[in-house]
Amino acid sequence: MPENGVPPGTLVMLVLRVLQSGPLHGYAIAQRIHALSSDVLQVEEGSLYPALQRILVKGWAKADWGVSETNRRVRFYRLTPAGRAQLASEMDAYERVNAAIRTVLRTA
Amino acid sequence: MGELWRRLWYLLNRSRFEHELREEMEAHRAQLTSKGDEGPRFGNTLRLREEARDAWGWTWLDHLVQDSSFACRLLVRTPVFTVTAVAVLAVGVGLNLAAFQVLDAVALSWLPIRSPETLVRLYRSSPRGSSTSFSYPSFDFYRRNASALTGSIGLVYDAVTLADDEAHRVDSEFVTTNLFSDLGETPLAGRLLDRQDESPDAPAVIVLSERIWRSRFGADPAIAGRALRVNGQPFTVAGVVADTFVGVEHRFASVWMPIAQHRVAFPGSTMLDDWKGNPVRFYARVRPGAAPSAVEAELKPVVRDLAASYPEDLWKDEWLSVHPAGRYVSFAEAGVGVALIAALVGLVLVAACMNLGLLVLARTLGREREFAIRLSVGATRGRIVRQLLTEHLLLGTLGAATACFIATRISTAVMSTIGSSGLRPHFNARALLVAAALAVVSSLIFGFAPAWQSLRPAAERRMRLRSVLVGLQVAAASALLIVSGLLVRGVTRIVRVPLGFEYRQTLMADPGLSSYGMTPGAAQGYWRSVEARMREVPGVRNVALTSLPPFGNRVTVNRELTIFYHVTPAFFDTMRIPLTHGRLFRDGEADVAIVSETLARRHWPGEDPIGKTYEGRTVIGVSGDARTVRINEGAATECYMPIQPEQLAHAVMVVRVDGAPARAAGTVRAVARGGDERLMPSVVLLQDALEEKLEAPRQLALIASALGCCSLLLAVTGLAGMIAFTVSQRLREIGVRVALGARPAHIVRAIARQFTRPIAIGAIAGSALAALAGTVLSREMFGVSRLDPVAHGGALLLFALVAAVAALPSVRRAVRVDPVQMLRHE
Repeated sequence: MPENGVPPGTLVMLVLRVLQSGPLHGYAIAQRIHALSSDVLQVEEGSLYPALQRILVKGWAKADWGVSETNRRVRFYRLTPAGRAQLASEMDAYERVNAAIRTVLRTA
Repeated sequence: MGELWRRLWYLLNRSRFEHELREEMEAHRAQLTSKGDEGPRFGNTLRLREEARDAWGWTWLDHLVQDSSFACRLLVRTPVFTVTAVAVLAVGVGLNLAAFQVLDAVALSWLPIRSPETLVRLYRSSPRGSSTSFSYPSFDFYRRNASALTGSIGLVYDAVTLADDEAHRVDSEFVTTNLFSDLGETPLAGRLLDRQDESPDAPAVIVLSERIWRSRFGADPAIAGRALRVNGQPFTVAGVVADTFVGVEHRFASVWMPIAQHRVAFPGSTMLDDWKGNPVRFYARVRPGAAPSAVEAELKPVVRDLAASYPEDLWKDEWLSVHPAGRYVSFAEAGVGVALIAALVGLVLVAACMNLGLLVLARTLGREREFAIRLSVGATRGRIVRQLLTEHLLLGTLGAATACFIATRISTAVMSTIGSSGLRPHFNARALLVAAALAVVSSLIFGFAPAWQSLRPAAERRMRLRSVLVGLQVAAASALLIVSGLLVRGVTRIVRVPLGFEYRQTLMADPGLSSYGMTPGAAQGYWRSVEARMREVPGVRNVALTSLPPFGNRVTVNRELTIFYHVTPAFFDTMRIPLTHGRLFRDGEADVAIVSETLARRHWPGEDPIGKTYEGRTVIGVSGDARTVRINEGAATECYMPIQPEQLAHAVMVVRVDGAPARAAGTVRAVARGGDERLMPSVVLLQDALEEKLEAPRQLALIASALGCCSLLLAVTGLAGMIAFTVSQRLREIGVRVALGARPAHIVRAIARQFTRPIAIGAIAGSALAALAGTVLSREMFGVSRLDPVAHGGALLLFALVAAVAALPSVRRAVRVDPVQMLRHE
């Protein structure tokens, strides 16, 4: 099965989306995206952490230290109300752009 | 918590957050490897951590800190360069900052008084002209009837003697008693004036300035209530006002008295009832925010009322114009002077920047190896340019900080020489802003070009930049040097050109008859007896009367700047002004005139002026040119007329004596009292009056010379540094030349060729620039000629000489190169 990187500009949205169902740590976020995309999307770990730092700075998520299922000290990221709002608006924008692209592809 | 705060939070706790990030990423990696996933995808952890950290938005700060610490280390390692650069910048920025501080104190800041924004000055205006002087009755009428004006302030200047020294007068102001309270001034000792002092039967009181209280009354704390004779009349000291009080004008009086008590100090004074004399300066308050034009409109009916009662005392179509007076001078008034000074100090800054540009250029060229290494290990060109700019900004900041320290000193010194005691320059937020702006602008100017240049390797371009810097610097420095030469020459010409009359042996006595309300008849009687008695004093050669005191500020001129004197016939002999043609006045003559040679030549070239008519008078004689009033105005010509009885109350007496005039002063004063107990004549040596008059132009020349020397020094050090650098770069080549048989002259020529063109072009540009500035100057000041060959030639020669001396060590080094050693070195 071919693996693909995450399209540019959508990583933050994907991260926010997987966090919507509950707090996750960094590794789990990458795994979840990988799994939910049926192993199509591969999150570059190198780009995940800059994105997470950006999310923290923007105040879209909060991070708390905890213990992972494999008994490691890890940081769990929890969505904030601002993060939810951001997710909604990003998904909105994404839908619009996506629909527009589809239309072009269909009719051109 | 906003995003900015979170960023700051990250900045403040960055070591903790960095630690956490590392821990987190290591955990991630451990989980990857435990799942059997291959590791390499994670790459260089340090690099990844840095990228993650970029999200915090502080990378620029990291770079700045790195660049600054690197720059600091470099500057510390080259102390000579650093100290030179900071000193050069401190001079350039410091002078500009000082000039700004003076401008700020004088034209931008409000006067330090209560509500300066509502203070206005009133002018009498008509379609034909305007005047700032009012008669007291008209001022009083406006004060009572103009509802648009509140807190009207009237001031009358006069000079009085105080009991401890009756031979000299001090500047005094007779003022409405609301002056101090309205401006919000509180006494240093005793009390200031109040309303009761203006009532007719109030006892006479006087307020002393702090200056005179300290210098002449030993800062006596019990001065209030002390009796003090003013003009020989009994007054009581009310109190003392601090020297920080600036009043409504920059003129700083020594004592103040109620305007109503003018007749106490000058018994017989008719000033309060006199509609003809116009001694009152008129200030007032208007509603906050009221436009001058609106107030003028409101005042029109009041002026009409006054004109209805006293039509002959007002001009036709007279109105009151309103001028804001809350600042020391208005920006428009300061205009030409500000532009000129800004240009001069700006040139110093240009010279300083170009000088530094050369220094920095030499330095960056010597760092090529460093840049090459940094580029090869992955630094971008932008990063290197940024590194250099940081270094220059650091230098600029250091220079500006030093400049701040010297600027306030310079501006305070300048302010005290231009004689405004009350206003002091301050280092305020505006000055700080200007200093910062100057630092940034100058570092960009001197730093950007060399930084840019160091990254492009084409050798001939580098030479061109160097030539431009040298040329600009020479232009700025020589322009300044020439301008200061023009000013110095102008002042010496004022002093050197014969004034055309004898002032070393002459005294002037002024009894101030008009202040006492003397009638023409009384004045005539007084002068007749005093003149006669003065002639009998042993050692007195001659005595005369004139309406215009020599070296004084009083002057009557017509449109072509001819000065009109009303004199007695003895004036010409007393002042030793030769009568070259015709005859003197005879008794009883009125409509005749004696004109100066230049006036005669200008009006009737090649003709006999005797019998001609000038300004409605018959010319009966021609006298030598004599600049007795306006010493610094070459264009002025003179016209003398017989003094008439109605001018006698305003006349002063000139006395020429044998021997030292200072010794005669006491006798002259005693005779000038003329048996009238009221009179307190002042007696001045003309020599002293001249010195006082020359003070201002001398100071201007001194300031200009200091500026010129500064820029000369800057330019020469810059040039010397550049030549030394060039020589050291070309030593090897010179060695080869010497080995091939070049003689010293060839080598000197080879080095000189590199610099002659930019220096020559710079000198020509500087000369042109100076001529431009000289055109403006010659309009303002007599004696300055914009193309003065001595100033231009002398300055350029001086420049060349000093530059040659400065270049000597490097040239000597070049000539003494040992070819064998140089080639072995290779």
